[in-house]
Amino acid sequence: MARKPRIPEEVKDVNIMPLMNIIMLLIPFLIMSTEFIKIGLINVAAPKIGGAPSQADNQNKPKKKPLNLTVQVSKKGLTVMAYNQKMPQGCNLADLKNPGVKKFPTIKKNENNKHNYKELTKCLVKIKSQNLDEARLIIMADPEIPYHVIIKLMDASRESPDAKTITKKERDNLFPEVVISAGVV
Amino acid sequence: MSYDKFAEKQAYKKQLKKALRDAEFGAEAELKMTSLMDIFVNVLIYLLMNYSTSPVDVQQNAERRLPKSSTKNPIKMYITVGVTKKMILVNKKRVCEVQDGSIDASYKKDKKASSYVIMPLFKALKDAANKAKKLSRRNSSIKFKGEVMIVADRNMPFRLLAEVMYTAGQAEYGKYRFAVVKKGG
Repeated sequence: MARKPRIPEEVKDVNIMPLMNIIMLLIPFLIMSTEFIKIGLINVAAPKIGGAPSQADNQNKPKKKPLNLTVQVSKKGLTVMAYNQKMPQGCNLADLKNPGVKKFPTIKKNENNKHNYKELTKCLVKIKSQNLDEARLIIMADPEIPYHVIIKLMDASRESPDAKTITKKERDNLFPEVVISAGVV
Repeated sequence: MSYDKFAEKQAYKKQLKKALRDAEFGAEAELKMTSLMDIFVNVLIYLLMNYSTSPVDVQQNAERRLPKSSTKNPIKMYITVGVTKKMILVNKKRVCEVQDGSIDASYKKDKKASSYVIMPLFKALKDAANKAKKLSRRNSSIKFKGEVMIVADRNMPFRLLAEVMYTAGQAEYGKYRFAVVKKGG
């Protein structure tokens, strides 16, 4: 009798379909949860060390007193200065000429010990309404003030929806030209 | 013979024939790659999307976290001055060390702690400025604009920022662009 031929054992494929299923579910989930970071830029002009800011912009209008709008950042709060004078609390340009007791800083920190940028924007809108041509802002800060405070300050002073009606511009309608000053006035 | 047994016998015969054929000619292994290709396409799409978001890759890590801003300006290519918690870099090359948010007096001009000029940074930027000017002399379409991008950690003290900006200004890089993370939509 002929010997029964032995059937060679079939090599079974490893079934990776369930594994692939899991991977196919995970990959879109991971992709959706990643943050796409967009990097932007802020344009800033040269810092000045010490002394009063330059008056080069006012060569065409020698009669008009330069506004020299400045925001000083300290641990206590933000002090707004115009015409080289500190503005007391309340942010009224008229107060600059009034004698009497003046309280500083112009805008105190709020209850969370953070700077009140919304108040600053309101203040700047008031000043902008009286100085439509002015677009320059000088920023001064105490040496230990962190960089992100300066950036937030620039954001608060660049544009505001409230200023749209005053300047008829939607973007960069407050004081978009920023100058960093490291001196002490 | 019942139908089942007959079918079983046929199947057995078929299997036997295939096994004998494989044993003679060599078994053909099939690799099912459909799912793998799906994954590769997914990953490729993700990488393409990531690649197209920005021309400059700025990694956020523990040493340096960029502040957030509402600016809408897109990023462009400039010479980069990076400031992390531990060092200052020019075009990703280390030039100077930072200790506790300030520069040691030994790196400053005339070794004075009160100086605003950081000598290694000044030297690196001056070299870069000279190279750029040489290029612009040879190729009139390239102009030296003096633009520098500052990529700094959000907690950097204002004093250090002023020193970096002043030093860059002395090296003829007076147009500053702060790199920030765009926030919101």
